[in-house]
Amino acid sequence: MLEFNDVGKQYKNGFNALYNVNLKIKQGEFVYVIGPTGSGKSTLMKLINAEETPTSGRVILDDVDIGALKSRQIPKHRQSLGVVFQDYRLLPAKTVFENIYFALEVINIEKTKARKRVREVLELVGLADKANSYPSQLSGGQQQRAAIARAIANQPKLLIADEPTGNLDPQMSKEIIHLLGKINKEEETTIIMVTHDEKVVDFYKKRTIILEDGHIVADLVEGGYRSHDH
Amino acid sequence: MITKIARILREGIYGVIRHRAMSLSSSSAVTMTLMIVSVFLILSVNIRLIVDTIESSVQIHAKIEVGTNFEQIRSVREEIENLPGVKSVTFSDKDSELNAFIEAYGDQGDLFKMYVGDKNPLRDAFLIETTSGESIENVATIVAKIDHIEKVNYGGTGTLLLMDSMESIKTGTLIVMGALGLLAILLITNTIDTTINARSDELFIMRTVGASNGFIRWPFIIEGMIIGMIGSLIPIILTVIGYIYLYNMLDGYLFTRIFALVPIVPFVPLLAAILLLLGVVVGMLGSFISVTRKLWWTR
Ligand SMILES: Nc1ncnc2c1ncn2[C@@H]1O[C@H](COP(=O)(O)OP(=O)(O)O)[C@@H](O)[C@H]1O
Ligand SMILES: [Mg+2]
Repeated sequence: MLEFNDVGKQYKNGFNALYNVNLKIKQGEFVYVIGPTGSGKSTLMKLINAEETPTSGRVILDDVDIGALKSRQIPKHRQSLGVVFQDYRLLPAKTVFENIYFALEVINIEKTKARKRVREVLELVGLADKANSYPSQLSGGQQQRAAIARAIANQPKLLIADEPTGNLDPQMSKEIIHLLGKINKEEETTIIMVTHDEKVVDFYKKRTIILEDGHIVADLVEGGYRSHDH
Repeated sequence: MITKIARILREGIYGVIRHRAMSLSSSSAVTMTLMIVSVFLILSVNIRLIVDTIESSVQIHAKIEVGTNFEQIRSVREEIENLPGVKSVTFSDKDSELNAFIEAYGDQGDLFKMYVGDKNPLRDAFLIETTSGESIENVATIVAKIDHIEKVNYGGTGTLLLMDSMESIKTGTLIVMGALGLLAILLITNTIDTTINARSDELFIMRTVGASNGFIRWPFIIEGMIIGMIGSLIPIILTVIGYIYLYNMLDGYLFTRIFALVPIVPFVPLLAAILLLLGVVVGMLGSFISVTRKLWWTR
């Protein structure tokens, strides 16, 4: 469903963050992207949600060339995507319920259906009792679960998570990984998760792509090596 | 469509309520600017009225030669009426001229009553009003050359100087008014900009979740309108109470009976409406400008 074809990314200041990235991710997969800080993991994610455009090659999601999207086509693209960040990025002046409801309002879902779906995902992430709390009243783990609930509310085909456990203690990190695994199974959502925490990867084994200095240096399928050029 | 509008209104109102402190600081920027605008509007409108009163009280007085017959008077009048810069021409026969004279001298006017009737030494005359103070001198010169006109009087250079300064007062108030309007928009945009800057994260998050610019922008515009409305309340109340109080205290006149203040109705309701509209429009523009600028840099 997602393909990187010879993708390179050079930032405006001349810094080259990605070189010749080739990658294929199939519907329903759970993929880790790991690598040291500055290796280009976030850049990879930003190319997927159209925050950045590749300077060479193409990123294609279900026949859509993401890099070629015009500014006003981007909202539509993002509506088909779920995104989770290390710093949660919840709207501070909205309750948990409203934050999730917002994502559904954006795609113009009918009111009663939307409310039902919000309760459903709150149940799924185990936050049903925090629906009316504001983000600032929640712990980090709870905020991240709210952010995940928002990301999956509109049933995206692809969920990308950039270091979702980066700010959480090991116990909470485990919970979040469990949750993502559950979403991958129950909602059949394709998931790409960035982390530089190898413990997480060991604890819940899945396909793992390793980045170093902008190159993919390994692509491991649940313990075994997959072909790679570098 | 209705759900969309309902969402925009709801989000706009929530935005104001949930960012109370920011809304309040933006509103007070509006309040301060509108107070200044209000004071200035009251001053300038009243100054204009006084200037107009002075201008229209200055007339050219053209005496008609003795022995000019009706036909001739009529043709002279027509000639004057057709001159550029002439607003109106009134014929005043020598009896009314004398009456005006007697009245102008007030208590001592009785002394001149002996001239009433055949002994009246005055002349028939035209009272000429010009469209502006500037054209007085020109019109007077031309009228003086017309046949059957004996003498033309308009108060001389003193009047001309007065007229000049009146005109500059008028343009002056206009310029200050324009500058003030610009200042208002600048000040308010600046304040709203600061508050929206603090919320640029929100705009960014909304974009990431897939909201289009229009979807994001409208609630902010409503927010700006509400903030403008709230900000205009105090200026409106103070203006209404203040002007009515001042008007009643001065009995409707400034210094002398000649300088009337602008009457309360319809001036005060109009002023209140203008302040409200200004608050709302400026709040809306401020919001629109700063959100649009923010979104412009957000991919
Ligand atoms: N907007 C940007 N402009 C210039 N350089 C950037 C920008 N964003 C990231 N970089 C650089 O690109 C490299 C990769 O960044 P990033 O993708 O965030 O790495 P990671 O997420 O793996 O830590 C880093 O060296 C970073 O400094
Ligand atoms: Mg990163």
